[in-house]
Amino acid sequence: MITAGIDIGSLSANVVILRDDKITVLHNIRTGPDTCETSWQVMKEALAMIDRNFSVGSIDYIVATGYGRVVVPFSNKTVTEISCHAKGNHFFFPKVRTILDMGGQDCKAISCDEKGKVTNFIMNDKCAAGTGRYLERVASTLGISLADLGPLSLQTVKGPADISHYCAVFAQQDILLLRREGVHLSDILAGACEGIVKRIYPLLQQLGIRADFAISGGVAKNIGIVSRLEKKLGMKANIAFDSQIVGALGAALFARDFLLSGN
Amino acid sequence: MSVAGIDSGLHATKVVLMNNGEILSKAVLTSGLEDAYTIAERALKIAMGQCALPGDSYKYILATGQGKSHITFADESAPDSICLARAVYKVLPSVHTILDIGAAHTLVVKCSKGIATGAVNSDKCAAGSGTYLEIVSAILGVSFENMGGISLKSTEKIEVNSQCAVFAESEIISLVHSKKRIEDILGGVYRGLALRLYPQLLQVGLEKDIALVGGMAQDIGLRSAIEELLGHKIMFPEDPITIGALGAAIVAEEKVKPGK
Repeated sequence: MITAGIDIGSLSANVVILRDDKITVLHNIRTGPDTCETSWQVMKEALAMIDRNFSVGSIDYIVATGYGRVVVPFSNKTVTEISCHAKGNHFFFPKVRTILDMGGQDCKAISCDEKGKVTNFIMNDKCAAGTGRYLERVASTLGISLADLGPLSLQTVKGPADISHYCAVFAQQDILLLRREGVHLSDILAGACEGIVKRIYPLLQQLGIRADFAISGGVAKNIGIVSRLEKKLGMKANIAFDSQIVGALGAALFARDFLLSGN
Repeated sequence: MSVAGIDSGLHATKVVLMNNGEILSKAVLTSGLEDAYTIAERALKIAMGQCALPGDSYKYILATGQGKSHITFADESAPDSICLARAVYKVLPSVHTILDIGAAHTLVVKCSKGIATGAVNSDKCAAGSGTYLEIVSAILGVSFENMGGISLKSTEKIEVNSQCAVFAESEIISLVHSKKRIEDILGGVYRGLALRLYPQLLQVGLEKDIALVGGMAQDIGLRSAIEELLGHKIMFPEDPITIGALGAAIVAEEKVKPGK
């Protein structure tokens, strides 16, 4: 039994292929301007990792998720990324009850039960402040890579700089001003990370935080955000070995369930 | 007896010099990279140079705008809403609602006979401000000055729905990718902007006449999108960008008037 999950996010596209219950392939590319083309590309590349002769037809069931799920031409079914992130995180951490999914374009706080089923969620998808996009803007404004942003933010010299604006656009202007005033790069980054945590925290608070807690999505790779959030919550965060594929894994698990139940 | 009004904005600093109710001169300087104090000092010097008055002949300097607290050489500062209400009453006396759109804020002021009776300010989010249009101009490669005119040539209604300037950026890029015409995209941009301003207008309570002022008031695309949304004409002062500074000068004159 081969099932696959494909997660087309705003900034990254991910595929997980399961052979029975075992993860066989993980693959991740950046989402291009044509979402449909991106879905073909990421899937073909993933299939080629198993076998050259593999095609989409070799997979028994495919579930698509993410904001681009409706344009995936080869999926058997679509499931919301909220359900998929709950299921994917539950697979890695069965005791998880609260999940934060921080993606490129939105941020979701999700509650789930002991089976990994969603019981409630709150999301921000209206404003870039508090999402991966904010961090990408900060990184590009300062000319550093997104991967370096977190580690550098932990090396603050005089503590986090004050980035007073809430809006990602105005914050960029704040950052340029701070840079001109000679504020240390790490202090600016620390300020940006603090800012994100300040915007995420109310979502979790509103939802109610129950242990265990897990973070998934691309932003979970940012140590600067994760460590500050853990400190603020007074709680350790469970993070999968690859936080970006959790949604696609959830989709692949749904595909397995649908196939087994003949749905 | 001369006074000066200074309006320190994110994008531009405006100065108006007045003498007994008459405007002596005006200056508008792009704020650029300098701090609010330096740029205001320079704008004031330029305005004074235009009417050839010695530097110490000023009785009173009043500052307004988001950078007002930094202009420490001013005698006093006053809120934007008060200054706008005074200035608009002078140039467009029939106006009861003022919509001020600048680079970093939108401010709606309800006023009666030059007195501000209510105001709602929004400066947390770029989506309703001139900064958003600057971003759009950069993505589409159209000069800021020409955008409004181009949007009027739109023939197909496109919606640009994002409520965040950052997300609108990607929405516009996708529209370009799907081969939509620039004039139609711009039409959607202005309509979306007007829609985002609408709740703020309603919050203050729309009372005619309505005037559009501030740096963005010169944008014909924004003007017509707001008029289309409201279903009636709105008014514009002759020089909308210096209205805040004019108001500051009027308030300054009130302060120095004998018997006050």
